[in-house]
Amino acid sequence: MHHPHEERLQDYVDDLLCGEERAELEGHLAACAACAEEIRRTRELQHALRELPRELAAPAGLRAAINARIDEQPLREAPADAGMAPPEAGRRAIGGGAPERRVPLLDRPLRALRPALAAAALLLVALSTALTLLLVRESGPAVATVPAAGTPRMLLAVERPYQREADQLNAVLTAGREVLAPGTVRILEENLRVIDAALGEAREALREDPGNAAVLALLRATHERRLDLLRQATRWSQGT
Amino acid sequence: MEADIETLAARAAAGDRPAFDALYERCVGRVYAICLRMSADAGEAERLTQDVFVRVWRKLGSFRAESRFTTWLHRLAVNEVLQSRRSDQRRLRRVEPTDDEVLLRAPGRAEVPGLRLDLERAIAQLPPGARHVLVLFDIEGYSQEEIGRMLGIAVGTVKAQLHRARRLLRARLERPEA
Amino acid sequence: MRRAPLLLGFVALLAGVPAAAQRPLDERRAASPDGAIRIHNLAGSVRVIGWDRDTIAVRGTVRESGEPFVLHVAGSNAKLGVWPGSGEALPSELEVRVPRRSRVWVKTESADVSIDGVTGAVDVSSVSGGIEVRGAPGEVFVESMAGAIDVAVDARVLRARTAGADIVVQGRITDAQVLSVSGAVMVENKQVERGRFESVDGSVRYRGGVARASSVEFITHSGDIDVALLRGVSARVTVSSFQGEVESLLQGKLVQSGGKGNRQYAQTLGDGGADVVIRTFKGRVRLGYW
Repeated sequence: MHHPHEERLQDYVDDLLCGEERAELEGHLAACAACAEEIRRTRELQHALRELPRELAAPAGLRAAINARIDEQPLREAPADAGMAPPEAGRRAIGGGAPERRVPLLDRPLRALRPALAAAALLLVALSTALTLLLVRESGPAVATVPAAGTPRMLLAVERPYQREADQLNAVLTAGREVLAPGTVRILEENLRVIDAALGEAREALREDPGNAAVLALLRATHERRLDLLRQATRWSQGT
Repeated sequence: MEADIETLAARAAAGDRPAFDALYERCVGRVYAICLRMSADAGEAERLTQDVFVRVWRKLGSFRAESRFTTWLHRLAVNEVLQSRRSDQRRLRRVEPTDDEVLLRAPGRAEVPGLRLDLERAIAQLPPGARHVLVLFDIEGYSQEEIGRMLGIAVGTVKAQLHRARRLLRARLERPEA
Repeated sequence: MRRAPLLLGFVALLAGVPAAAQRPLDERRAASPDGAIRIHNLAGSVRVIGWDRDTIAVRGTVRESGEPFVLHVAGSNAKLGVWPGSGEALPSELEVRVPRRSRVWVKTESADVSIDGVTGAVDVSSVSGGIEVRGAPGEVFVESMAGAIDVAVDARVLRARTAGADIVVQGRITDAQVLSVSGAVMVENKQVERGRFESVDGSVRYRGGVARASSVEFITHSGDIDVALLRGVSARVTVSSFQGEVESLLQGKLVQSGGKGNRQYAQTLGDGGADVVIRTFKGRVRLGYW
């Protein structure tokens, strides 16, 4: 089997592949456990990095030292145009205003912002005891552009990256299902049902009120909890 | 008197020292984290953090309020680390081990897989180029293009360093069950 | 406050399991004062105690017919425990004393884990075992899918997660993330600087302070949220709820904006220093003083 180059796998993890490249790679991942495992482990690392504390305790006495230096030389630059370089053209604008970079992961207000790419919606039905996975595809038009906020397609676009990762984790779990004790599978299923019910309610609310940013944020948070749960189970089944 | 960061920044820009002190309290943890993770040296990080805030005081007048203060501040911190590294290199001609195999075999490597416990330590032990890119991309959230501009390298090199960093971290942190 | 069951396996040990099936353990090795220690025991119990000697000492019992007990020290790293063989894991009861400044990593499946007096860092991963941590460990990472988590510590960083079990946290933690799906999250914390306390179905309860420049979030889908803050706290509290009840006994007025399905509330305490955000879909929200 021809495996994609490491750089392509990494670009996939970083959501840097275009629609066609991504679809091609996902096709490969569905058939190749080794590459799927590479992706999973890289994501584990990324998640561990994201969980690092955002602030670290600075040594005491630093403020006094800073103030002493400022007192020695209180002169300041005139408010001329001597500041930082302006945001460069060609950056992806996220929301209103023009932040200089993609929102720093550790500063995101805990709503995981993902690039919105539309595709068919996948509905995940809860795992059965034998861990068989039922995927019900609701086919929809494949759209290359970002749907406007407030449309139902926006919802599909928001959910798709979460669904992709959930599918991949489920594939790993299914493949390694003998390792999980029946009790563990039961706990996993019960909690996935809780999550699916919550997602269903949030989706319903968003269909009626697509502009509801608060519910959208909750939807994302619930998706994160689902991925978290699947990662936890996968870590266990894979021994990592 | 507490107020939000933007207000404190505006007051500090106008010369209000207590406002600057309050701004320091709010922001130092984050700045120190950037400096420490980028430089991998506590003494260096302390010195850099000082430099950052002294520079903030001097340059606040020229901060344009169209971007968020914290965005500007963190960018300033990153620049401070990179500038200091460049002048160090000119002065000291550091020799870096470039052989990843050597790094992986070096003494002091954790033989105990425990991803989260050793993560900060493992980041600190990355070679500088890989470490800077990893911290800027996977922790600070800059795009690969911006990192390339900040470091003066091509995006392809940014990717290579990022992938190298991830590979080294994973090798150090994941070990098969013995 | 509810507590996780303490070391049921250990109680079984004291009650006397047939001696013929078990082998007592009593082993020691010299160890680094601040090394990394990895402990593996799928079933039974693990109790870790930090002490002031540069020695690892293990006492307890393992099953005769099970996998062998391993204790191996190499440089500043050590590993000990029972690794899984081909059959079902037989319970072993381990009591491990480690140099206080160690970094301790424990993996179990159903074994309960208790850690006390370790100041390096703690990382415990279990499927259905309960986890209890005490002391001042610096950093705490604990996860169990179905075992209750009970942490009473002084720590800079806490990352705790379960799927269906409750998480109880007490102490002084600077940067906390406590997450569950259907378990309740109950926190009593002197002062947090950065916090995220979340459950989908379970309730989230917080009693304590928030530092002046802190940023704290309480999130549920349907679980109730109950936040009781120390008097004198300076915070801007915002609540968003799709359809749950929101009530506040905090000083000042809870100002509502937004209509049905998009209710937003805000209240400012003191000078509004901390940023306290509460988000729920349909949980009941109660705010008050502790």
